[in-house]
Amino acid sequence: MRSLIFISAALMVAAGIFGFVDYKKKEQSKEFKALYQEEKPVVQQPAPEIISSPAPVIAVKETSEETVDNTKNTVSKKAKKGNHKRIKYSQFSRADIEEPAPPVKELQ
Amino acid sequence: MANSRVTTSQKSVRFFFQLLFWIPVTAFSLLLVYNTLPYFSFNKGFSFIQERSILFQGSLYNACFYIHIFAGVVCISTALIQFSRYILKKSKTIHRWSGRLYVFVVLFLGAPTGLYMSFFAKGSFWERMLFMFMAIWWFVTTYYGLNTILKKNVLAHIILILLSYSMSFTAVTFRIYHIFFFALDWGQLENYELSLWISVIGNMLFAEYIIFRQSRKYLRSFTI
Repeated sequence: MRSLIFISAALMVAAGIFGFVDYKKKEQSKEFKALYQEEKPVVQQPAPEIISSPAPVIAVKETSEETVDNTKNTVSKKAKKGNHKRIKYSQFSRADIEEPAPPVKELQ
Repeated sequence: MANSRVTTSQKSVRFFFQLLFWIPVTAFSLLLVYNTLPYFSFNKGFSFIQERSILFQGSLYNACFYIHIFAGVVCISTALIQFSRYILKKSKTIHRWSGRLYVFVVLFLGAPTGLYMSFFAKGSFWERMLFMFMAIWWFVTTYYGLNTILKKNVLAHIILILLSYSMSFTAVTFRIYHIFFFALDWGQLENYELSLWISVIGNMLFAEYIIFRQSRKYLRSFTI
């Protein structure tokens, strides 16, 4: 019985020493320093649309208004829906909980 | 003579509160076990592993991680059996063997690997120190829990194993707080650190409260 306890205590001491030595080795590296730093999300500015087609001016205006209205509607709906967060069973872990990305609609 | 209706209602209320405590404890413990099992596919695609990809390049850290999660699964599973009075009354051998398994896993696998990994834990210096404290405290309480039962000191055994289990159970409570603070829109790192501190201190205080209650009941039994 005593030998078992001595072995487990020796394991603890070894873990402490190895941990300390490995930590000191890795402490200096840049990769280790940047290990848990959070990346700030980059906000992308929407690029201005360039209309290359030689379509009549009135028609272009109409379509652009429609698209603006549609996007406004979808944004307001999403904002209403996104107020409460969905939590999955798989998020019951030590890992960072990531919010699911909003579904992207393909342009037709 | 006590009124039998009163004692029956008191018993049923006590039973209800015990259920209220043990059902979530069991459910969350099983959920933790269920979510840990996919890691044994040794796939590196999990976000926990990807975040620590530099650490997982080292073979020792890699081995320690898998041993530690295995130990966690065993500890959480066996501990659920350990606290059942029904099992203890019906069959002491189940309690003894699962207890031996729990002690072996903590002393030889869980605590040493936890101590090694604590040096690389997420958070500041103090969070690393907290992880180190957890590993050492887990080891010490489990060791003395074993030592006291070998000396037939049941009361001290209960207290020490309760303290040991409070450390094991931080794995579960951490996840509960983590999700709770996520729902409150806390930042990832702040959420992680706060959940860690609250889970460790909260579990220790809760264990102390149970010990206090048990000891009060025990001391009351001596009064004439």
